Amino acid sequence: MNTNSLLEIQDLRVSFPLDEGTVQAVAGVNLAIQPGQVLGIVGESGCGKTVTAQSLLRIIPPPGRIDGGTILFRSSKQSGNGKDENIVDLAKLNPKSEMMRRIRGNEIAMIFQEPMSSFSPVHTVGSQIMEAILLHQDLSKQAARERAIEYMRLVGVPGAQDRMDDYPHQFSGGMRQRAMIAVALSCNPSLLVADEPTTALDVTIQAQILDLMRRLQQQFGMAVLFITHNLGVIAQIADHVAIMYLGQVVEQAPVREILRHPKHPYTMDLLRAVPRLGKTAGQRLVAIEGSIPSPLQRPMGCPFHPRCSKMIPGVCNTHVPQWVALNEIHSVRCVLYEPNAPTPNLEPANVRAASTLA
Amino acid sequence: MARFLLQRFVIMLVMLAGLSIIVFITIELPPGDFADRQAYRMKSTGVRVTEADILQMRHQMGLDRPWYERYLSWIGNIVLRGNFGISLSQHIPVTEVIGERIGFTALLAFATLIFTYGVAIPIGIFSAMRQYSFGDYFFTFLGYIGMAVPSFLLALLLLYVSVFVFNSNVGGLFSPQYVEAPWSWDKFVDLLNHLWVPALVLGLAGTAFEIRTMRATMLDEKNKLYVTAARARGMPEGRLLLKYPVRVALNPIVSTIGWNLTAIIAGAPLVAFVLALPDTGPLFLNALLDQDVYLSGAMLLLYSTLTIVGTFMSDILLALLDPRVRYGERT
Ligand SMILES: Nc1ncnc2c1ncn2[C@@H]1O[C@H](COP(=O)(O)OP(=O)(O)O)[C@@H](O)[C@H]1O
Ligand SMILES: [Mg+2]
Repeated sequence: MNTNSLLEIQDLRVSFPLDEGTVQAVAGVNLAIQPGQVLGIVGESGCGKTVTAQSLLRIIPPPGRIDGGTILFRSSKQSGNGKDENIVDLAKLNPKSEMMRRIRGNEIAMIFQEPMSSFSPVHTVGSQIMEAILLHQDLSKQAARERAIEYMRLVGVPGAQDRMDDYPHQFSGGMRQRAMIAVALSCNPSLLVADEPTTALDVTIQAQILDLMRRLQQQFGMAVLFITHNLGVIAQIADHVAIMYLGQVVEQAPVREILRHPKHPYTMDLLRAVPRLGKTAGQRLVAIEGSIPSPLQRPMGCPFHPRCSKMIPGVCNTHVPQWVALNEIHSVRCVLYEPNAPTPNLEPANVRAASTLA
Repeated sequence: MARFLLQRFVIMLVMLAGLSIIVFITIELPPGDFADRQAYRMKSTGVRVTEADILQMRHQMGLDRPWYERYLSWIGNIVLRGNFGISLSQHIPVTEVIGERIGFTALLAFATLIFTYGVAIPIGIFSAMRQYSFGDYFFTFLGYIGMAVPSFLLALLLLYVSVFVFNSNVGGLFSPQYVEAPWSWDKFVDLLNHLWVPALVLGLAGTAFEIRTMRATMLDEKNKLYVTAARARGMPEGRLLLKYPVRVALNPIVSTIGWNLTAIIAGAPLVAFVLALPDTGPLFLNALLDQDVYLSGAMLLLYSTLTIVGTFMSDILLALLDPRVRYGERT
């Protein structure tokens, strides 16, 4: 593991064995996050962003399972003897283990896409914030309550003290997402995973929540894995961005670099699909040409080749592209940038297959 | 909460009033009245009865007054004086006839409810947590049998088995030596020893149903996002299940207490008859056969009241469990 990284995912593979067949939800993801960095993950819906996030906390819903790869996490709160750091492979932990539980919410916290359903309807919001605090910190109930109120204030819930004993249905969507952020921050995690935290909200509320998250990130300095399908949002909040397609990261670079010099044809399509980038935060992706293949039938070779405008018959449909580092900050997974790219294999069978798929 | 309680309480009173009218109409419905029946009985023993005699009897018993007058004096006596009238067939106050028996009926209903929920909730949780395990299939199978077998048949079966296999009789509510004995701890234990049989018989169908409900809701709830969110906060699995899905799954269970109670009370007379229980069941059947309007009316009214009050209590429980009910939100 790189000496600086907080988290390094290598060749992570997650699948769901279903009756209809096996869904390869994550098919070899590589990612690295440095402490304090905001890494955006962008991709069309269904490309495995959520499952990647769930893998970190080992909360993949059944029947999903990790088939391979490592998720190395630099844990700073685990070793009993003071501040020693140690590196844990989350992919190998037992999801029900004590160690995993102590990481959840404490070192890695998560915010979900649906603020309306991420709180239990029959428990007060306050009690659910206190829960995280009581689980990970040696505080009395009273102290935990005060801490919870403090965090409710911090995330901008008006009348925090009184709203502690309110139930989720008495909160608006935006307020619930603020409360969710309060839960996530309450134990001062070193990594915050935010899975489309603003997608379910109104445009004006989206902007407020983004603002809040940016401000809190600067104040607390935690690393953030920010998942979205909206490149416009990424431009506002992230330092780095990873573009995902069908369970793989196809390009990773600093945000400016990606916006100015996109390399992967998929990234280029994504950028074209965002009108007036950076000005319209709430704008959704306009779908790019072609549709995402069924997750049950991953295309051979490069998974993007059936939709790709630069597809090379005989190469893209047979050869699996490698992860290529163009320079220190920019990597891409596309045959166009492979130094030893294979030459087209123009056997008749491959050409025919390519033309029917294209 | 206070508003909610008041609202439910008023609804309960209105329902009780409406119900008393329905009860009154129901007991008046069959053709002929008690006077006819009395005359018929006297005739069959060889006594000569004329039309005038029947009218005379009717007048004596007040059966010739208009129905609303009879209703008002009937319900007025009940509400104001606790006087349910005189049993036409036994010539003693209805309250005396019913007496201790209604207490047994209430006790039986209560015991059945305890049995139903005490068994159904843990099994439902188990079945949901170990979905498709041997245990799950086992309880599912038992549950279908429980729902399919008529209760009187089950009662007969239990009686048969207890008499011929265990050589003891589980009929009645007490062993012979305690029937006339004053209340004591031993008598209470003896009562419990007998009570489980009718409770099992009466509660089996409801229990099977509640197991299915509990299991289905648990399965639904345990994959909800809020459970995952709590897991992602670091909640240990066991505590997680008890605090969230179980808690939410109790709502539909609690909200069926009312109609479970209805089913129990409706089924009780038949089972009590088969098992020879000293509760109101056999009395009720005879009162209906005799057209003893005051007795059967009083009992219908008491049964309905038990049911309505039970529903009221289940509403309160539900409100305690679920804030959305408490705050009157409809979702
Ligand atoms: N619980 C599940 N059961 C079966 N398949 C799933 C489940 N969750 C996700 N998947 C599959 O995994 C793939 C990736 O899903 P997801 O990570 O939710 O996408 P994203 O978050 O990028 O929209 C999809 O093809 C989806 O069908
Ligand atoms: Mg998602």
